[in-house]
Amino acid sequence: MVEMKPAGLPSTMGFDPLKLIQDHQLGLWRYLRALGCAREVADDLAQETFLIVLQRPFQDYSEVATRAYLRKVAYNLLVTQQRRAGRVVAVENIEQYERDWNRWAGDGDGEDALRALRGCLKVLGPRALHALKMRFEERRSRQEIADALQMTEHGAKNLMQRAKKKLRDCVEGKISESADA
Amino acid sequence: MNPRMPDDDRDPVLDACLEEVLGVVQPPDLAPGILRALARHPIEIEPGAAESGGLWIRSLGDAVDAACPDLSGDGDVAWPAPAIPIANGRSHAGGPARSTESDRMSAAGRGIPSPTTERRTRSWVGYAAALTVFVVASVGIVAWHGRSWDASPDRVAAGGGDSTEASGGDGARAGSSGARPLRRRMPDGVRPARAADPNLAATPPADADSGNPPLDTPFGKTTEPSLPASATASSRPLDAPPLDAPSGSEVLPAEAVIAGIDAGLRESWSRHALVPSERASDDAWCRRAFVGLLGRTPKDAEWAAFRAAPPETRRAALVERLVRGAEYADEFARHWATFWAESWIGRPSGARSSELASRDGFEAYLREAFAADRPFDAIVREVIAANGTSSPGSPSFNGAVNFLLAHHNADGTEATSAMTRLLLGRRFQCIQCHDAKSDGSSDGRTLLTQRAFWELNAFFGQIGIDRDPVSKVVRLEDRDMASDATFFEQSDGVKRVAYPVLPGGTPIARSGRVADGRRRETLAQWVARSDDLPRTVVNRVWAHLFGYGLTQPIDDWGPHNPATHPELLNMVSSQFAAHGSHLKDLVEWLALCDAFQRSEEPSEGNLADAPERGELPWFSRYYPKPARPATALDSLRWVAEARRRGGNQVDRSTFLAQFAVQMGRPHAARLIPADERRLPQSDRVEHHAMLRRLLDAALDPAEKIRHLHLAALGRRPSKAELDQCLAMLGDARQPDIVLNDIWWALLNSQETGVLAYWSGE
Repeated sequence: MVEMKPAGLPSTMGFDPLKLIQDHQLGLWRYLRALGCAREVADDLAQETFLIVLQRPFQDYSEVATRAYLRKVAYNLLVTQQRRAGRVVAVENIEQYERDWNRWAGDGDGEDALRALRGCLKVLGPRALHALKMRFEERRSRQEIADALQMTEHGAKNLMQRAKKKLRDCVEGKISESADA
Repeated sequence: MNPRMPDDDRDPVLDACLEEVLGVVQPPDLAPGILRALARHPIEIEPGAAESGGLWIRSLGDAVDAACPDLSGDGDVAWPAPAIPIANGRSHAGGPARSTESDRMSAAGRGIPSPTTERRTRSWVGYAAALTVFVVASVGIVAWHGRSWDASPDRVAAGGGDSTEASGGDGARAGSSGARPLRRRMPDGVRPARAADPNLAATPPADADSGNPPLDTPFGKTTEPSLPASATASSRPLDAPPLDAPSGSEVLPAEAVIAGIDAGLRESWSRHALVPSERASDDAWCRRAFVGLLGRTPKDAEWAAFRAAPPETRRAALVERLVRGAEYADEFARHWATFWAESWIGRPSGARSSELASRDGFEAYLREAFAADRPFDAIVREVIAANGTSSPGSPSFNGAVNFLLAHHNADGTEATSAMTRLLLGRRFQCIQCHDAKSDGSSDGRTLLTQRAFWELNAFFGQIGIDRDPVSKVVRLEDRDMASDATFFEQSDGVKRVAYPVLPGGTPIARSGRVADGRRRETLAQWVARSDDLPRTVVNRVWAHLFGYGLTQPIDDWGPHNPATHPELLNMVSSQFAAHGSHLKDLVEWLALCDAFQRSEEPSEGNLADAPERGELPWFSRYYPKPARPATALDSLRWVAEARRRGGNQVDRSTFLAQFAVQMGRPHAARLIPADERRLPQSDRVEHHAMLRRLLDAALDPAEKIRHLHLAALGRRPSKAELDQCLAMLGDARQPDIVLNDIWWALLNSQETGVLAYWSGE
């Protein structure tokens, strides 16, 4: 049994709010995006999270603890925001997204997952990659993608679903490999 | 949730990553907005938390002060913050783009009241107030039968002094409470991080009830008695220049101006007991002159010609040739066009076809202006008042419009802030949201008001922009305004109107019709005559040639940011204006002054002159000046012998755009010392076509290495260097990669000092 020792209480002398924001904003923003937030909502909630945290004395026990704390505040804000908006959102889905992201990002800011994804894009065929670029880079509709690829809309949908499945498997494989290593 | 994504495709984790990887969605930089938002709220320290919170709050205060110095006072001084924390999107300055959305999501009871709740409450009270006003007005109409009631914006603005609340009685109450100065609650024994600013401490808060702030103009008009001289002087670590520097000075010959600069420098060296470094070697100086004045390293023949000239006159002769020689006219114009384009619209702006501004168009305009040695005041008039299309080759092309296009947003606030900061050296973006900032006026007492910002902003109200859907040509032109007035919202929710008023308090015709007057034209005339303009130009060129400006940052005048050499700055600025505001004059003076002749090597007598350690620069030695990406490119271009007259602008833009950074910071790239940050690694910066051409050339490896040294360092490699590079190439499977690494290593070397760029303004 490992003895759990309380983390030393770092002196507030070293606390730098700007550093706190700069160190954690990227990971927090990506976390919110992974929970399904649009970019604008993720911007807002990340900012709101820091505002709330910095409104009271803050003890920076460790980077991991701080990241977890920030994620929790952001998570609660997201749920509150959804409730206020009157939207019915299954919390189970958000929890599932959160678990996925935690698996992908671990204690980091998600950069490893993005790096893995960049590598995995190379395994896609040209048509699938083209379809995803049109979808995510150019914001084209599925019908436009289908037209561009000279296939039916259903075909475009299947193509992208397969591509995303392939990417997800690939990323998870790479993450597992690095975890094992 | 993302509405764009159909449910059957939904995989938020992967989708978010794909959007980021494929480049559409990039993480924002939230820090400035968060710190600004914090600055607008009283910080509540919970009972019992004082001990642990004391240092925390001080750290937070420091961070907030650093993020937005004009928002902060000291602990005992009321922050110039309203009670209702976040202004609406219209008047929220400088924060992240989505800050208003986050503001709506604030939760009550956390120190920051929820703007949603506030707004909802206000709206109900507003409805009640509106109903009351309606009833009272009806009674009034009946009582004053036959008397008309004009509720036009003019009338609204005219009532009660400058303006009257447009949102009814609720607004009036909010105004009275909103303008009440808030205090940061400090635990006992916790001292504020910043020293007291007597200017701010003695400043009475603006009275929103009266709608007539006591001190109201951005550039010096005051209605309050000045503070005693001792009070203002105590806040200045150095003698700040009088910011109403004399204009219309007597025109001195160039030699006298240069002698004046030298005298100013010597006086500062003497005052700070500094012994200047030795005179730089001719070789070092020659490279410095070419890089500083033309943006590239000298060629072999140019080295030879310089060395062959008489020693006593060779430097002056070279400066004369580089600045005024016909053979260098194109290069001079192109270099300074690139420099000013970067300074005014930033490197990332205008490089992509999806943007409104065209970097090529702006650089083309500036090249033509500098080639013709057009006065700076004329250039500034044109960039503020220009109409036309942005892209070269389009009908009615006018590249000057790209300044405003690069800073365009829906309400003109970007243009207002950019114009004041970049052309006048005044940072006004923070007063977009709130009153009161200690200004740089000589009495140290003048306040800036939110109203003044919006009165300035009203000059941009006639701007209309169209993009042709087929040709994608962007056109900027003046159009009649839908309303003569510009509306803004105070932080307390009170809506006000503003009409164009020139800094100093001179109003112009209120009509927004173009036929009645072009507002930008009026503003442009005023800016071109402003004493701040030559001072800002001089400081920026000085910073370019010497690595550091006479103030830091270079575009923020005021007692909070005094110049290191105020008399020198005033003299050069007034002479620059007196000589007709020609860039060539200024460049010539600075290149021939004493500071430009000094060696980079510090002596024992000037080790304290170390701005790279955060000290003030005294220019007793020439600081290793970072080369710019454009310099690297142009040097490489001539080495590759692929330079074309007029430049391959598209290729050039693509190369320079690579030095943009993510995570915000879009504009105003600035340099950092060579030992702090290096250029991005070569795997992050694509190879330029010029480099590619050199690597593919049918030359032996040694010759390629010589070319790279010539381009980067302006000299051939020593034997040891050459041997070392050849050894690296010896076993390489992919020599191109090794050569590419050598190139970037040379650019990152201490000798070259090419630095990473990022914008931190």
